[in-house]
Amino acid sequence: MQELVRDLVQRNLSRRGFLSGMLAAGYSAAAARSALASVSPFVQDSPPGESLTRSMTGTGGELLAEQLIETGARYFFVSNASGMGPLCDALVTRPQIQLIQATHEGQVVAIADGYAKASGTIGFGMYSRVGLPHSSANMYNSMKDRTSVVLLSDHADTNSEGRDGHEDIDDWLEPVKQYTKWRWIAHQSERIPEWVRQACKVSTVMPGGPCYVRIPRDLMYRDNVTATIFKGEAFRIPMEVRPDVDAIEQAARVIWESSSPLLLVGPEVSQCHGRADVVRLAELLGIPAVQHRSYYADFPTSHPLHVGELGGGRLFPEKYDCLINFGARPGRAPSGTSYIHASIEPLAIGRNTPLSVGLLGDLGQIARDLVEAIKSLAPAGKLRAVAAQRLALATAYTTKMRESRVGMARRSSGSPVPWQRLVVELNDQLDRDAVIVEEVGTEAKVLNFFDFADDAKLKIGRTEGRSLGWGTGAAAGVQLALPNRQVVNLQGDGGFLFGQTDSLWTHSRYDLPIMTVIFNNQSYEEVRWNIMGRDGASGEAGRDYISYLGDPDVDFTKLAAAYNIDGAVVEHSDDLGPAIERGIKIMRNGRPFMLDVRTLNTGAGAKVTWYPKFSLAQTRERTA
Amino acid sequence: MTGDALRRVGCAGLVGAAATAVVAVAQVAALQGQPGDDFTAYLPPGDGKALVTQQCTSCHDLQGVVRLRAVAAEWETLVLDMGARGAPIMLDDVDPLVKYLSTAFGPNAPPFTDANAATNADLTRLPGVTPQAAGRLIAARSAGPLTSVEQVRTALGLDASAFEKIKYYLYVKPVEPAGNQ
Repeated sequence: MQELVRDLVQRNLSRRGFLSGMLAAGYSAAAARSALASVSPFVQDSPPGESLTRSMTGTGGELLAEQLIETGARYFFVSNASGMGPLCDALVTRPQIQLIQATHEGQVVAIADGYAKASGTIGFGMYSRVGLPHSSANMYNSMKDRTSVVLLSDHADTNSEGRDGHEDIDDWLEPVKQYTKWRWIAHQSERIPEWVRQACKVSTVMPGGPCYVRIPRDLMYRDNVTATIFKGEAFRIPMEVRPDVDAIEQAARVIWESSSPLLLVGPEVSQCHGRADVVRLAELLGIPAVQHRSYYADFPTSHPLHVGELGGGRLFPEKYDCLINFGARPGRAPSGTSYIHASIEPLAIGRNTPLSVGLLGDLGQIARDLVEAIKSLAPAGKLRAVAAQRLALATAYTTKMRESRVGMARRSSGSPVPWQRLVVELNDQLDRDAVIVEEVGTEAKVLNFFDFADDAKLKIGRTEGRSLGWGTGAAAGVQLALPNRQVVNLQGDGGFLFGQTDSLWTHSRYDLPIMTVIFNNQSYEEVRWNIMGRDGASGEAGRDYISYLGDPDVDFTKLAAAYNIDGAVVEHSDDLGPAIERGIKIMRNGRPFMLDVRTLNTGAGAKVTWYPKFSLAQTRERTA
Repeated sequence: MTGDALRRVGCAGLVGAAATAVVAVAQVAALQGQPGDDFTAYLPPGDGKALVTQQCTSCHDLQGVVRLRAVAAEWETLVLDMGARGAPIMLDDVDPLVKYLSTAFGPNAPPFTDANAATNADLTRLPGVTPQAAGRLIAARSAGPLTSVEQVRTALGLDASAFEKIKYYLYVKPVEPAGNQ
């Protein structure tokens, strides 16, 4: 035992080694732990940084894999690429990383983005060097949402790059400068881990965003390279940035002195995990909250103070004299209204609106600080009285509004199915904490009907960037991040056809029990409105040049069947319930499901089936 | 809502734009509305008029509404759709809204007619407007666009009682403020 203690104190033996030695020497586990506790105060601390790094020698691919493992990465989203050979070789002896494959680069990024949004951790992806252009649409979506995504590609060999040669261009990074927060091309094998760490760090430091690293294939294959691998905690930066104290006091006073404040919430609230804190701030003074565009629901949708969306037809409050922007994209306050903008993103604050007070910091922290500052301005009883009066008014409005909305949706019936009836039927049957991944037009379609809250459903999507072709891949990432929750992928038929149907392949291959619901109205509806709803010639002529999708009449269940996914077509609202029930049963058995609902087309040009028809076959002169 | 119904009024469903307006008020107002004109002046009297004014215009102007002709079931579909998208329509208001809209803007209501662009045939579709009266109005336009409802009435030569039946369906483009041309 003395030798064990000596080795431990002199750091020739780890704590685990000490326990093992004690057990091997015949001591009980309890005695071993007791001895370790007694000796621990005398164990010298390791030199700063020593335990946070380790040296390793291997191929560039192995260095990459080791550094990825240290970040805590569990999944690595990939598409097929010859340049991934060195990583594949490295994974043979590194089962910690599970590869999840997509059929192309755009969906790799979508899956990584969905995973990052749902897990709050980095989504990692890797694809071919020439796949970068294909990936850039969803890279743009990630950038607009400030999502923490780290993307890797191979790159031309170091002895051939820069010649505009085969599969190469002179500047790969220039095209994605606007879509990435940081980007790099590695040129030394031993620094591959360093660039991976930098990408991780930059992508997670708020405001986050996608980072992209290209690694020449020869550097990944190079052997006997020695590099330093950092543990994940060695490059994680706490981001609970505290706001300026004076600014908090000033903002608290503005809020307290306003007669009708209004809270505007955006995605940074959820990114900062600040939803509960913002609710407490709202409740402190009975401040109504409106939701700005966001890929989350940033305020509980069934809370009596949640009065709707910005820009919708709210009747409450009729007027406000103080707009408190919490993490929304720059808003606009009416003239004469105080405007407080709290954000984690300095460049966003006050971008297009005169500021009464700007608050930079973590939004949860800002909300907590504001609560304390407001409490110091007035007696508790007075605060409660103000809050109760406002809450009563808001509750009267929101209760009646919600009952009306759901009542009207239930009254909507028939064939084709009114979309709102589909949503309420889904809400009726899905798990209370189901995750709704949506890419269907405007957020109101889901915000008005699902109960989103920390202890209820979770909304992810649609993206601020609005580049279609995101949701089906994103749903896969969401399901992997939250394996025990129902995930539903809401898609319009037009959006679903934007190069993402092939993510059903991923859903099927990995038994991701996702229900994909197609709002199939055979039209790009909102585009049609915006074109045919004008006083323009195409609208007047009843000509739908680019929005009609009814020819061919796509049966999405047949598309799903090609991927071995079961499904149902629903044409009448009476058939929704049984079809959804069947889908949920299949999901509970671990398989995805496709629900193709023929939904009612409304508005400008709704029944117009004219489109610029053309048949090449009819123009051919040689048919034999 | 049928495409035929939309085409009947020669306006490809501005209701669609109205629906868009629920989610993008300012954008659609810029697209659709004349400066300072929310088209509330073109709502005929009736029990549901106040509801339309209050609830529909909270999101969009009424150009799409006043130009559309549809039966009650079609109006109900639209009202329910608008409510689901976020219009502040209460359940109790649905029936009065549908009744008003299908009466004022049903299939048999006079077509919404631009007094400064209508042909003689267009104008004679309005109740009480003879080809001769239509001709007088077209002649009056030769001196420049008509800018007020009263000018239209005078040109048509109708008395107040006769004009009351059609005045809500005659569009007169407001004069844009100087410097806004």
